[in-house]
Amino acid sequence: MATQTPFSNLQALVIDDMSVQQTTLRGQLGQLGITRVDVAANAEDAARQIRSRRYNLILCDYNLNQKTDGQQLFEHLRDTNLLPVDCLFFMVTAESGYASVAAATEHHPDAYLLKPITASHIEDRLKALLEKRDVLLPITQKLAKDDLLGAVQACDQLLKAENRWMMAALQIKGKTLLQLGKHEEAKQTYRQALDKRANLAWAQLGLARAHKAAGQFDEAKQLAQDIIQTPEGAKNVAAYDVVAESMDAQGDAQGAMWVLRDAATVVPSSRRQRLLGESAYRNGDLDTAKECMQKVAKATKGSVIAQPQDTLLLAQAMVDMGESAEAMKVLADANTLYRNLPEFGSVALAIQVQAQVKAGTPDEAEKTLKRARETLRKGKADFATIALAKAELMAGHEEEGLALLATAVSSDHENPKTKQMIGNALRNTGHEDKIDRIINTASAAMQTRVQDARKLLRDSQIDEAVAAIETAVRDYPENTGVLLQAAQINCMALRLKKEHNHSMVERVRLYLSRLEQLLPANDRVTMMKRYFRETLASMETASAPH
Amino acid sequence: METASFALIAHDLKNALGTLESELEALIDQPDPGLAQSAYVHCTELRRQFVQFLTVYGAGDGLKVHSEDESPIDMLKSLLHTAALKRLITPGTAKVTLKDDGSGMPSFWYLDRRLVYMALEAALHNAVRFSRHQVVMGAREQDGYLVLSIDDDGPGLGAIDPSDQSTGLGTALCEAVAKAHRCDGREGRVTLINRPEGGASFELWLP
Repeated sequence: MATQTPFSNLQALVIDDMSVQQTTLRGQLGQLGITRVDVAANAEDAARQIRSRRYNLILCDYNLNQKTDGQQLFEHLRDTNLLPVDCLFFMVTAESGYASVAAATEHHPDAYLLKPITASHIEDRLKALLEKRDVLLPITQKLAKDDLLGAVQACDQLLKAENRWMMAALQIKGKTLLQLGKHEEAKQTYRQALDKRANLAWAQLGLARAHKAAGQFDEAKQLAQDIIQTPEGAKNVAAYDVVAESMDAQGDAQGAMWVLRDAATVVPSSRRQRLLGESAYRNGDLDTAKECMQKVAKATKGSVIAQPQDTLLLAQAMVDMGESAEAMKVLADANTLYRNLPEFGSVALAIQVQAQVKAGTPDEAEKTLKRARETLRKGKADFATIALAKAELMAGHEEEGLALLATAVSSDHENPKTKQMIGNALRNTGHEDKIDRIINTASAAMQTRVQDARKLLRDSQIDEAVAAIETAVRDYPENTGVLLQAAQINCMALRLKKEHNHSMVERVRLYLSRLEQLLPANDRVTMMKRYFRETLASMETASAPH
Repeated sequence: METASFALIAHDLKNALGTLESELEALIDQPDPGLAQSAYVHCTELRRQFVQFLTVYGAGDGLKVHSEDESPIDMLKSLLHTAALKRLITPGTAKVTLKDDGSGMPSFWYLDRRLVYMALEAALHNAVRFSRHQVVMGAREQDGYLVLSIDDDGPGLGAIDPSDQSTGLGTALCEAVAKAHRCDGREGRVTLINRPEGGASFELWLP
């Protein structure tokens, strides 16, 4: 019978392409009493196994000699929420690669284990991390229940002890305060950490994010630049992102693109190339867009981290550049892979139409267009709708194309990125004169609907105001501007009426969760969530028994 | 690093390999768990030296430090544990203890655990070789530095190595690790002094 150790109940997964190393690691885990060990030889197998079983510990070799390396797999697992929060992820790496991997990562695994590895190395890290997990449990449990205020209190409780876990508590507290929209308190927390340890990267970054959240974009940029200018921070892509997001918020899309370009230069990962490619495409820099997406396509070919959107964007950029034949080839190659994905098929058809028009085969284009129309359900503020609109315009169906673009604007009328792409679409199809009409008219119409609802509220016609904004949400369920207003108007209605209206509260919850999906980690959404929480709290006080 | 030092290190590694080779040779004729254990320890030791060598000289553009908040006492306890295991195999060597049972140490410090551990391991290895009865490890905070100390009760500095296996590699490693730790314009350092009560004292100062 195996010896019982503190680790005996752990379910582990070893990811390594070398069978010798698999056996060694499995044996070392066995020495620590971890006998429930599965093995995966590549990223694809690993992803499949992680989906079907809940692991507590994953040991992953960095160099998988496959399309996907350990770091890419780890980021993929994190991005797709496949990793349970309490799962420890250890990256196994050779000496030489260590520094560059560690410096260039956006997500850090729980530990790096350097080859050659011994059982006691694993034990050391495991012991420390399990202790950390236990100490932080009161906090993480609150976070898991989305009780952010409770989590901050739990952090304060731990901070009182002034012990070994002080910095970990400060780090979570700062992040949670940012999620709560309490940026001034977040700033204080990060400054507290910096007093303990000067130049601490996560605290500097948190401070920059807190300024950005508070709308202090110049300060946010400066703080993030300060990180980038240090030798250790030169590859801190998160800091580049703060600069780029601040510039975007200040309306400098071009500047933001240059920052993303710098970030993709210092960390040339597929993920960074993708971000740059998308930004370059929006900004009309087709050469850069094509170059980036080609790199992404090449690097991710046949890997779990490949995304159909990468191929579509590459093909679209090629068509825009007049390289119809190349675009068709890219789409045909990808078709075997993504044939069954609805998000690929209809868009690929729309781009194909454009390519066929440019290649001088209008009859073919018309046939393809018919099929493309059939697959698109309802116009949205997305790449797919704009691609189809372009196809319509290029095939000579001006009315249909313009109508689609107007729908795209209305679907998310405050989204500067969509508007930028719609402007490009009109410009490239010879409709530059209509940019103003299409974009401004459609977005002004939405603006008016929102303002009408707000005016009704000001005139104390609460029910009418709510009804008006609800209609707008029904018409454009993914319009982030409308959703934010709907959340706010419903909250104000709750406050004014001073009564707990269950369906209204649930509606706001629904809108906020939809906003979370549409605009992840967005400062305005964070502030609206805070407003909602305060609304609920004020109603509880009001209705409390005397 | 001058060629002479490299030659010295290569010479020592070669000797260590030679010891291991003869142990393995003996094992062919006479399989014996005790001898196998000893060969294993020598092999581990040799590998440790190679890792040290690569750490100091293998990184082209200097040592890269990735500091996290670490617990000094946990690190020392882990070293203590390894030392105790080694002592089981090689009886008669000095006993390693913690100063004041580990009280009064800062609860955390920002450092690269792997590198600092490796440096302390080398320093401890050295101290145990020279020591008569006891080696004492400690950690304290002084002038904004974490000071990790290893005191032995041996003959003090400048003594001739009793086991004749000093390469200077351990010292080079400790210095490289100390220097690589920087914070707010300050740099780590290593000090080696004779203790008034006899024996030598090694200290690693980390900002």
